[in-house]
Amino acid sequence: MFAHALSGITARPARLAAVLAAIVLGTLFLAATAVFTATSAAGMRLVAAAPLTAADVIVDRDPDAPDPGADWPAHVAGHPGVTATAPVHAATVELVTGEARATTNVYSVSDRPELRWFELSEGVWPTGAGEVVADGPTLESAGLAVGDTVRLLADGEEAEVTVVGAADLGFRPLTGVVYRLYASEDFFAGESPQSVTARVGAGTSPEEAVAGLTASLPGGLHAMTAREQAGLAADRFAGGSRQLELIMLVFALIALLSASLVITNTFTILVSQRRRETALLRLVGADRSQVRNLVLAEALVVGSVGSALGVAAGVGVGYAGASLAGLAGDGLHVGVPALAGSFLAGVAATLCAAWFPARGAASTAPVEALRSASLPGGVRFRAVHGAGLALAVLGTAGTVFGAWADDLPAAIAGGSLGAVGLLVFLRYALSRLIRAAGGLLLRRRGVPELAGANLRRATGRSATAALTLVLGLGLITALLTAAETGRATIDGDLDARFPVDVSARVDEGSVDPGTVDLIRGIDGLALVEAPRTARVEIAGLGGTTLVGVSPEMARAAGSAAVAQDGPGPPALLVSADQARALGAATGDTVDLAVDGRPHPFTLHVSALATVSGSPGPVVREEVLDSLAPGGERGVVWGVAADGADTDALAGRMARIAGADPRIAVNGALAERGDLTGVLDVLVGLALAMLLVTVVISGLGVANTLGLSVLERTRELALLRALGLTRGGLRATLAVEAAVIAAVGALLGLLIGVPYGLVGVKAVIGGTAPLVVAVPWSGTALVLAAALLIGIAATLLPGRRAARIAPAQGLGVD
Amino acid sequence: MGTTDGGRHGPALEAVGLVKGFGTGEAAVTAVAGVDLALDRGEFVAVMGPSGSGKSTLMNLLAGLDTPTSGRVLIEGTDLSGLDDRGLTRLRRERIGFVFQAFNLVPTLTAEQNILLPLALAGRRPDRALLEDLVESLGLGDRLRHRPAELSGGQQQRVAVARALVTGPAVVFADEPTGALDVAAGRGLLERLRDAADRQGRTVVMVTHDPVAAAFADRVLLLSDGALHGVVERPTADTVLAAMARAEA
Ligand SMILES: Nc1ncnc2c1ncn2[C@@H]1O[C@H](COP(=O)(O)OP(=O)(O)O)[C@@H](O)[C@H]1O
Ligand SMILES: [Mg+2]
Repeated sequence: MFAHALSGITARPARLAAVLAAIVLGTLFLAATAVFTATSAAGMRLVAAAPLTAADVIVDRDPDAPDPGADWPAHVAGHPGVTATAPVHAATVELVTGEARATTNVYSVSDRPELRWFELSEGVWPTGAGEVVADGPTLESAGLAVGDTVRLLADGEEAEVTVVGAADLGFRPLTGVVYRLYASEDFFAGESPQSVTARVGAGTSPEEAVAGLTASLPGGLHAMTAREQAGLAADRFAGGSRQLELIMLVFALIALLSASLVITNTFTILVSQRRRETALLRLVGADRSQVRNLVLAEALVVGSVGSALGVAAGVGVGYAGASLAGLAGDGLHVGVPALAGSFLAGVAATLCAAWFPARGAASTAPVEALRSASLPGGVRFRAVHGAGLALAVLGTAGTVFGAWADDLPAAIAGGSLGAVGLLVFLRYALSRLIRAAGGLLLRRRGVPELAGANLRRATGRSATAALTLVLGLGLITALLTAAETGRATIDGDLDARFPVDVSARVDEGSVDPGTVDLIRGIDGLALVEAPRTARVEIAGLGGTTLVGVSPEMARAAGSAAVAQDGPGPPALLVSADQARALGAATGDTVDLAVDGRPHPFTLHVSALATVSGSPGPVVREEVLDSLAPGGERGVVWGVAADGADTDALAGRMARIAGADPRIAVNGALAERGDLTGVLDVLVGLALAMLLVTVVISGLGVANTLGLSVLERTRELALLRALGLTRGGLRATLAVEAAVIAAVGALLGLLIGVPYGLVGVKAVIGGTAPLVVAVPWSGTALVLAAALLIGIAATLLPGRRAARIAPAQGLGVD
Repeated sequence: MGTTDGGRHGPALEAVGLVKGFGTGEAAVTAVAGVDLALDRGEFVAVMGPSGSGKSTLMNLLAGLDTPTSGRVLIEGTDLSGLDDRGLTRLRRERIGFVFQAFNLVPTLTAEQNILLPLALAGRRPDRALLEDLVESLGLGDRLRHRPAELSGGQQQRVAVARALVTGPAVVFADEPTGALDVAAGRGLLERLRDAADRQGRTVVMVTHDPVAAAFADRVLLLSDGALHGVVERPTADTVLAAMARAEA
């Protein structure tokens, strides 16, 4: 029986090529996920544990306990058995170069060589408070070299330090956006360290030292071996990567599902093509289970070969991915159970996918061997389709309910159920659609008529091919819609929270006029103003900075109350906290003592009052002039033009801030960059992963056409003999592919857009008003992809069809 | 059910009041309209009749490939209507052989694999002596490793005959086995069927249009409109032709 299955495969390997390719891609994705996860987790452990490699013991200070004083490391150093100690400090400062300004972490590096955990590739170790070393990536991205001097800002204090060396960490650090400097212990003089690392003498084990330290150290200090601590640090890192692992797994399973659909379709077609052969087997005495097992054996062979290839390739791809992400520092890590699981999942998916076609083959009546072959049909409406439709409707209702009731689990459950229901129901719907499209084609003579007739006689298999397309393209559409809507929603939310896009502020005096001019010079800012500011004392609010803006700026920042000089008391914009402190609400008229003299105001709660980073009530400029005359201009506000390139704006602002260390920068720009940056990375990653699914569905369409060409060899030869040209034959196939691709893409769009909208609504919930945005460019991309798939899918079958000689239609088989 | 073919009593193949109708209402057709038959072991009969007279339907009923509307079929005394799909499958595998006009062979298997297919399906070892005898008498010795596409039509039919006989069946059904063969190849095939009946005691039921082919049989059953309309004993081509002319008149 097995030999027969093998002979079936070896006799016609090309027919199973698509099954093989689909299963290779599906398992490749699974195995790559497993290897990427294991390799990057090991790499992250290595990075997380690196600072502890030189130490035997580490003592932590309980951050909630009272500070034991800057000299607490002496307790550790004095312990018998401990030969050397190093305090561990870390501080976050702002690094200012002539070019830019960026958040930077400064870590201590031990003054004692035996407790240092990295080497220098250049320069010398830092000594004193004025020297640091930096690691390679920091030097590179901050544009620094050994010997350069930089300024560090922290809590309003400024220090100048010289980069005296380059650290060679031996791996790429995980935090790509933050710079890292390493300073000597003197840099942190007078501060109480978070931890102390220690080495123990030859006669003492780390465990003994820990036991001794635990007994003798005062409360609030905890000793642990360095190995134990390294494990904990690594675990904390690994926790963050679990989410990525899960997301990758979900996409891998989607790819595998799409592969299963392709496999089901291929086997269904093969089984129908071999119907007479199967009937012959039944006639000479094969029972049903033997026929079924024959198909399953074939699936087992192809599934095993494909899964083995996929797993092998997946190891390479997963490792390459981890290397690209800079996470392969600890070398290749392969989880054997995970790889075995990927292999088994591939084999199981192939077997499950082949199960229904196998059952179909088993139901072949022996007498069919004596009849001429019957043609495959369409999809009849059956109970399962009704159930699918019901599930889709129910699931969708659940999702919509979940999205609008802020119930994320309900939305996810509804969405998943709805998707399953849709998958089941769609095969029927697609078969009807393809039938209808074929019917339209039948009204034209010639090539469209031939294509339409063929589409109509095998709508079932065309529907399954289109279904894989709907799966891939629908998910991409949903993702693009969610991303676009998410971005628009973030923008809308930021606009509400940050009425100006750029805000620079100094704590005292005026912003340097040169800096103001530089900000004025930024392209893309429609309006830049340095409003007057004055320190005043307001009864109920205490000392605060009052800002007086022009009506134009007030209007551009969306504050109509200040922009219009209506009747009644002048408008005063305050933060929500300040309004609460005053016991008043928007629209209330309040009498406030400003510097001791009472004034009536109409109160308005506005984000403009907090846009500079600290609360600063806002009034019209002439109101401020009358309240507190003066010439100080302590803030600069800028409003971006519509459609301005926010990334470019943010870059320019960072450079200006780098040149003027006194200013603090706020506004929508800074936040938007961070939020949309994360979103872009996630969406890009997800799209790349969905590409696998789309490629698999392309294979499915090509395979459906290719097998139908094989099946129709005689008929196509007859058409050629009757005068159809090669080009006409190819055109017939192209029309068929186009209809399948178009139907798949249209349904994908039709389902993907609402799914994406509901999905993003479910995630955002009530935290911000949803701004619906349809990704027109993305939609065009999806249609173009479908077209491309359609064209690509015709290439091979077209060549095969063109090789059919007219004479092949005349002989007997 | 045993696989030995000796020592059985009664006819090898028996049909009682066999009726088969297709469709309902206006489209109703009675393809087989009351056929009674009893064929002994080693008997070779030919079934003849005009196209649409019910020959193929009758053969399907006799082989258990189709269920009669009424009536019974017994093979070696076993009533086919009492068998489920599994039982019928086993019966086909062990007691029945098939040869028909075309597409007799699995294209992906070699000639030898095709011949041994019923035994492989049953999980039985081939009887080497029987196989060699078959291959020898059919002149297939140097063709065993070839696939059907590499064989001539006559060779393909001989492989089909070898497959039909390899299990030692009680009845061999042949539906126009010589239809696609040239005269010489057809003659060789018929001689082999005759031999199987004479020397091995197989009962052979052959549907044919060809009076020369029918002359190889012991008896010719003339079918028209689904009913038996005549029998020619010890037929020759001439007596068959004459009987056919009589039946059509
Ligand atoms: N599956 C079927 N469904 C309906 N009618 C059938 C079927 N098989 C055969 N018939 C009808 O039964 C009659 C006998 O057919 P058949 O046994 O094939 O005749 P023969 O083999 O003698 O040419 C014909 O009228 C044919 O149309
Ligand atoms: Mg017939």
